[in-house]
Amino acid sequence: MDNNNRRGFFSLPGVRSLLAALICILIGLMLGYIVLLIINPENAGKGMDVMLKNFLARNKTFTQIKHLGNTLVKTAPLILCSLSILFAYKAGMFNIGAAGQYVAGAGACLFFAYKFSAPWYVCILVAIAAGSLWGAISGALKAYLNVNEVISGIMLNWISLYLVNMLMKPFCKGAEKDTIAFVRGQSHSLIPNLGLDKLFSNNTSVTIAIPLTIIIAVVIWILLSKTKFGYEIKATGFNKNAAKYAGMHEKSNIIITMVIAGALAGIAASFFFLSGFSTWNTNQTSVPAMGFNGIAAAFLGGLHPIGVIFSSLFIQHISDGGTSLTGMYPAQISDLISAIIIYLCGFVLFMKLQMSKISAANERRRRARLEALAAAETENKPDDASEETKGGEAK
Amino acid sequence: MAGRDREGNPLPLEEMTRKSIRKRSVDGMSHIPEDRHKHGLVLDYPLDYNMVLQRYFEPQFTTSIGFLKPNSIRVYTERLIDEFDIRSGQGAATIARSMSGGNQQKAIVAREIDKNPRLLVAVQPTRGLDVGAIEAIHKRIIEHRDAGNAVLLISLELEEVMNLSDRILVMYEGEIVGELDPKQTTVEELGLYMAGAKRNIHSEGEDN
Amino acid sequence: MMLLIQYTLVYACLLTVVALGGCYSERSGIINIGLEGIMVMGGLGGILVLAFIPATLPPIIIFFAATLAAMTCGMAYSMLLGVASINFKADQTLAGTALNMLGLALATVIIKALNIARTAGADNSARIIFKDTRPLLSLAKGTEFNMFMILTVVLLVAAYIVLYKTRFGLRLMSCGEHPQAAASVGISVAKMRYCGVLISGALGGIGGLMYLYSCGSEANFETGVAGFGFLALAVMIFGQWKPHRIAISALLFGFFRALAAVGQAFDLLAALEIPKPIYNMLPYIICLIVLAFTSKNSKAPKAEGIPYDKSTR
Repeated sequence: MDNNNRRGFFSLPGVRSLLAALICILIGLMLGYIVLLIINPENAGKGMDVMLKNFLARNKTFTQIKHLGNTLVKTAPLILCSLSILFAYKAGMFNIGAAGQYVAGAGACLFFAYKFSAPWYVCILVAIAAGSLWGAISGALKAYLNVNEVISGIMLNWISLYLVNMLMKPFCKGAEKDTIAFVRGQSHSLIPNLGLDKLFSNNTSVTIAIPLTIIIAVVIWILLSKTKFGYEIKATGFNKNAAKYAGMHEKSNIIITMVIAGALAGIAASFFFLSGFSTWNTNQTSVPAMGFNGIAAAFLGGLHPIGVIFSSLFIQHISDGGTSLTGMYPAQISDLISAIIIYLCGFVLFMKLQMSKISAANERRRRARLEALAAAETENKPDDASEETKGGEAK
Repeated sequence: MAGRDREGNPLPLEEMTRKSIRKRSVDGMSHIPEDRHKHGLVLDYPLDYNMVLQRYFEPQFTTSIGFLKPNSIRVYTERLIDEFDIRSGQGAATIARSMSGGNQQKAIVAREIDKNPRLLVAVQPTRGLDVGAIEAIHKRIIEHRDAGNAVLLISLELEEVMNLSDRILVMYEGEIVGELDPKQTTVEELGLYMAGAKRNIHSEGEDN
Repeated sequence: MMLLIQYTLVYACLLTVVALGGCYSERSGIINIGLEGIMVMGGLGGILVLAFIPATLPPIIIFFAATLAAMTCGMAYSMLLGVASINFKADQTLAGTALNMLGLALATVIIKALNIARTAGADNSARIIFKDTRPLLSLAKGTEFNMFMILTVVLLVAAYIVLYKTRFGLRLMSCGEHPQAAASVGISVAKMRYCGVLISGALGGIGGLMYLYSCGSEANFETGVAGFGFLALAVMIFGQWKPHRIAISALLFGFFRALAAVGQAFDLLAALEIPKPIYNMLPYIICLIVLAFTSKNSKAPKAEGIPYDKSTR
């Protein structure tokens, strides 16, 4: 029975997830390249190069690091959005409403920042509250009134978009569509840098939001894998009936899950808008893509809180790269590639199944070989141990 | 049923049909569900997580601040694996889905009986299992009865009903129509009750 | 008032067609969250025909050519959902979401690339101008009543007959309720589910064209179809997956959507000075409230969203 501890490389779940993710990325990039070839065959190679290099395509190290900072500033909220989706998914819910929770959080933190010039930590807390509220609506509708969380999430996405657009109107200068930008040093609603900006060529948008995000990811990981609460959440996600049978309070668990998911999306928004990187455009007619890209990152990251850190970085990397394509190609090429990757993520389960089939076949072969060896050694006496293993398998 | 044990002494009565599932479970009721895949197991959880499905919140398995104790869960599971002869590819770490039906059922029986419930409700505990597993499970249920606990067995297998029960209640169209002693009755007679052709318990409405 | 009725009907027809599409798919057991994306792709096909077809052709031919193109594109695109969820047992919500994002990105990229190529980089918008055939195809001069309304009625009646009066319809629905039982009497679950998805693709495509068509003579693909695919899903749920109830609920949702579009034209409503975003939110808020009251006893197909697995009972 010792053999069981020494299993093949492919049978490790982490390796399988990583492999599946890499296959998705590879196929996604290939299809993206084909699209580039169709649109403009001459520049396809160069276009792909620009997109994949992103900040590395800049010619000076100083600017490279500065642009790396920009990518990281946008990666942090993406990680949080994908954590939001991941967390709900573990409880068996598809939180497509993360986008709306993000918008609600953005509206709340910006409102407090503009209207009351509230300090940054207050703004973040307000964003968390708004995001949680939005999540709680979806969760309560699901738990008590059986409303599909996908539909309610989508409706809430639109409601929040129009609401926040309206809410932000007074904070635009004159007839401008964007809200007034914060000035670092003057507004204490911005998240402090604590010297991190110096590391990134004085990129003042780089704040403690980035390390905080990593900490949050680790906390979510611990919460899901080490605690009683995580045990309940995952049991509900895997088998709702069994969770009910075990006496778990599925209704309140659903609501709490959505509250946490909403809070994560809310934090994401506050981390993004309080870094001073961007302002709110009140003329937006579609919900910011952050929440939807979170879906891609969550699945690409193998639905693992640590995995999504890397998948988010990758997705943000190519979508930043995509924006530098303007002129040659439409910037949406990178959206296209992330959409293809999300689509391919649907096949991950199938891929993992194939991989486990392969490794099971290998295992069988290896075991047969060992048994043959053992049988050859003790030809006279039938081997009890191997008999038992066979019996166990046959059942 | 009548609130008295076989000697006629009154039993401590407790209304439990209105209690929450968790309260019923903690108060000493166990249930071997009819559908082990739908209700009995979280198939994607490893065996050890499944073995504490009804008691993961107990201080034995969870610290006071809500962290699971993976080691005590594992040790507990390994004890049950030995005691109930549950066979699985990778011991306590086996994903429940990959186990055979008989061993999945043995795991559920182990979990429910080890809770030492005052009342064990077993619904079709041996459905679709092989002879060896059936025998093992029957033995466990009898042992549990012998330890002085109540067992309510619900089954479609008349053989099982006749062999295990001390007292048989037959239901027909939603009401109990007969109480029989397995030692004095036959499968044929049981069949008549089941088909509604005979009854020895009359509902209150008919008595008047 | 006339304007409100006209727009109500325009939106109601569009929602009916798309919701019927969703209905076919879900009745066969596949959740089609990707309707929005299918609408965009179908609309793209139809609009490209409208934009590049010689304007000298009779309007009725243009109409049918565009509709056919929209149907074809919608069907082809919905194959992506079919392959993922039927052959590869993918999470249907995930596949549908991917379809939505992919549809929008793909349509934007195609139109932008077209514009960039046509104007040598000067125009990189996602807008496309097409011939406004509304006046030519209108049923009554000067109104919004158009051929699509007749088509909607035809499709609605057809849906009712197909689902309830034909062998195909009953087989389709059996696959959404209990695929194992359906398979046990020799129905090919995969084939039926493909049919459901493809029909929903065709109807979604037509719906996409109807939306873009109603916008006049310019389509901006960056905004897609403004959430109509999702509204249609809500219409379908409120309509309890039944064609005649879908038509009624589409009228309700159409009315509120129309109110958002033309509400401020009324003196009474304009006097209330309700800001425009409120009107824009209204259909979605109503939708949420309606769903909250109707989902409790929802009669959703039992097996929807669950990949068919022969080995389970």
